[in-house]
Amino acid sequence: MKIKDGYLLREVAETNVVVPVGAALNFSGMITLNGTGAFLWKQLSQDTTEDRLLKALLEEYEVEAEAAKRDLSEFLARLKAADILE
Amino acid sequence: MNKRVALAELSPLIEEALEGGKEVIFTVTGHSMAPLLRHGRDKICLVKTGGQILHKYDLPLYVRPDGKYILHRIIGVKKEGYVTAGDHQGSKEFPVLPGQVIGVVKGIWRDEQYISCDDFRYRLYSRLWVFLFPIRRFYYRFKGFLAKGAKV
Repeated sequence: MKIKDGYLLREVAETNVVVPVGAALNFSGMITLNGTGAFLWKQLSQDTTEDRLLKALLEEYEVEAEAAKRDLSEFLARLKAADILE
Repeated sequence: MNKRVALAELSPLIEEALEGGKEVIFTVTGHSMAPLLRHGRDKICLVKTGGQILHKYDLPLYVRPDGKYILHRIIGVKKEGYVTAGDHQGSKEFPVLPGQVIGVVKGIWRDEQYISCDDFRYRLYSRLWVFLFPIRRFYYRFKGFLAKGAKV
């Protein structure tokens, strides 16, 4: 799975902002991400799997595997619900 | 996941997109363009001006010297700059220089309905609203006068 084309991730005023961009830059579809969210988003710019994401997350952050797994699946569920993943 | 980010903080992104020939869509905040644009509800589509001088009735997004981002209507064009006023305001701003303008509204969404600025009804509304400006100005001043009087 990966993030669909047409999204721009930028850090603006210490916030990670994702904006849909096609012919127009649509701020009404704007998403803000925390540091972990932005980290995962970047990983998802290339085709990857949930297992690989979890591994990357555990390497990058000092967090328990169970908590990381739960947060990761919640994050992915939200991206799927917003139809951002392909 | 969704923290509010102020328009001023997004301005580099907005300017970059407009420069690149893209349109920029966002939801308006503030009440100065009511009843046309309702706070947190209606959206605008912004395009670059391409250095062109704007006309009376146009709706530019511009930045004030203090860094505030303003979306108000041009109600007059003078040699020194534009005269602007919000549709919901009785006060004018002058001069707004073409160099302060970031982009100009091409169309709006009221709820989900898109209305182009070339639309006949939109044009009629904007002309009528500018025509009524002196009356609005008088009304707001009179209201202000009464409010002051009531406090004494």
